[in-house]
Amino acid sequence: MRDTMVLGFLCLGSVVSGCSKVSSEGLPTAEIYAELHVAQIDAGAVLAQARLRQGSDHANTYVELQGGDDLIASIRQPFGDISISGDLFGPLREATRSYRLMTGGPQQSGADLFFPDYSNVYDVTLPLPDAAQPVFIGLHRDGQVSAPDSQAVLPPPFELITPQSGEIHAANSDLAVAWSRATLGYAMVLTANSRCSDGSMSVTVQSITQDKDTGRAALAAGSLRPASAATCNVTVSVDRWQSGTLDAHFAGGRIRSHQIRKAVISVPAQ
Amino acid sequence: MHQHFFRVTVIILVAVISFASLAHGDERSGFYAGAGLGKASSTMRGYRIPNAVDIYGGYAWDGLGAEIGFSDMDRFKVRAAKESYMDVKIWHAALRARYTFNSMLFLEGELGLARWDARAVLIHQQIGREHDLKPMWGTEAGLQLAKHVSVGLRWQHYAKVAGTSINVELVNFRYGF
Repeated sequence: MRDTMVLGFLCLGSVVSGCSKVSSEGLPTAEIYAELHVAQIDAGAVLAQARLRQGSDHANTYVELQGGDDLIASIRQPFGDISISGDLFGPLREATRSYRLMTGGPQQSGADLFFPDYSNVYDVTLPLPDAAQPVFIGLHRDGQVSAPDSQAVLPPPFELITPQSGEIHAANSDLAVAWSRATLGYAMVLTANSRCSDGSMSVTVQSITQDKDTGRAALAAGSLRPASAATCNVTVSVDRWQSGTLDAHFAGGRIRSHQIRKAVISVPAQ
Repeated sequence: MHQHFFRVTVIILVAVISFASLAHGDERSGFYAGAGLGKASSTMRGYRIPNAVDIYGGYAWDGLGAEIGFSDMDRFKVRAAKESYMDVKIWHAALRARYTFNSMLFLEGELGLARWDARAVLIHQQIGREHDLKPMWGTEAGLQLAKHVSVGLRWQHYAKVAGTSINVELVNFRYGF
């Protein structure tokens, strides 16, 4: 995630040497690197997000879907396997609840967690699947080999115990973060994203490895906000994640599933 | 709504057929052709209302007629996902009866069979296709503008099309040869 954020800021900050785009038409799937995420944020629906690059993780050329190529997220079997018969109207309407076209467009809630610059991101929301049921993201192509079967199961949900949204926290003391259903062996990432009334911003990321998920951590005083005179709103996010299985037709990439809980606190200047 | 239309249609049909034997409308006997433009709707919730076109032709004699027609509807797009839709095309063969008031106003009923062909498309990919033969009926109220020309408002009901019923409402133009 840290790598993603760094690259995202590079693309955002550099207009001259920034990221370029290439059409997916004629581009073999074996040359596409996929970064895919599915997440339940708080008690909401499942957010699926994807970004495709030409070549590798560090390539700055994004793939723009054109010419009949689609990214489709689903909570049932892979998209290519579905067929209906008999009374078509009802089953088609039901299927559209489980199979959703991922589109590039306005940013969805929580999007900045995975792709901070939100450049060339495709996303959609889905109903919450049953426990242990995978979420699929498929690249379906017209005239090229498809990659329909990337999948990931959401980690178990949890609750953020502290901090709670609306709290006011002193900038000179560590921020205690605690969550329920710990020690299950999942990787955790804590993020403090600060936006201040004078326009300044900062991001602090702290990762917790699987064997150290004790259900609590602390964000160090001074890391929560930039040194400005303004009051800052800090979004504290706790992300429990795990890797899924990426379709082998891609050049490479990853699919991760997340349970994310957030709280927005206020941190006044010292 | 569906049952209401059914009752109304049956009442109109019975009335029209009863009167038809007495009717000597001013419609020209012989071959005719027509076309209509309007809207189609499904009794299944969750779909947008598409446009519809209807072309038909037949033979009329003494207030009665027999015709075949073809209705093509725009896509029945799913409201929640416009890239998913039902594509429906319908052929019909029907007998019709007309009652004419004052040599100009007319009321018409039709009863027949429809052969429908429906495709289900989920996110640009066809996932199902069905066809069948089912009953259809309809009514039309209009004006006989001249021996050759009439205009009317036509309503047609196609029963049990891929798990729903389809109503088509058209502004209709007809020419008698």
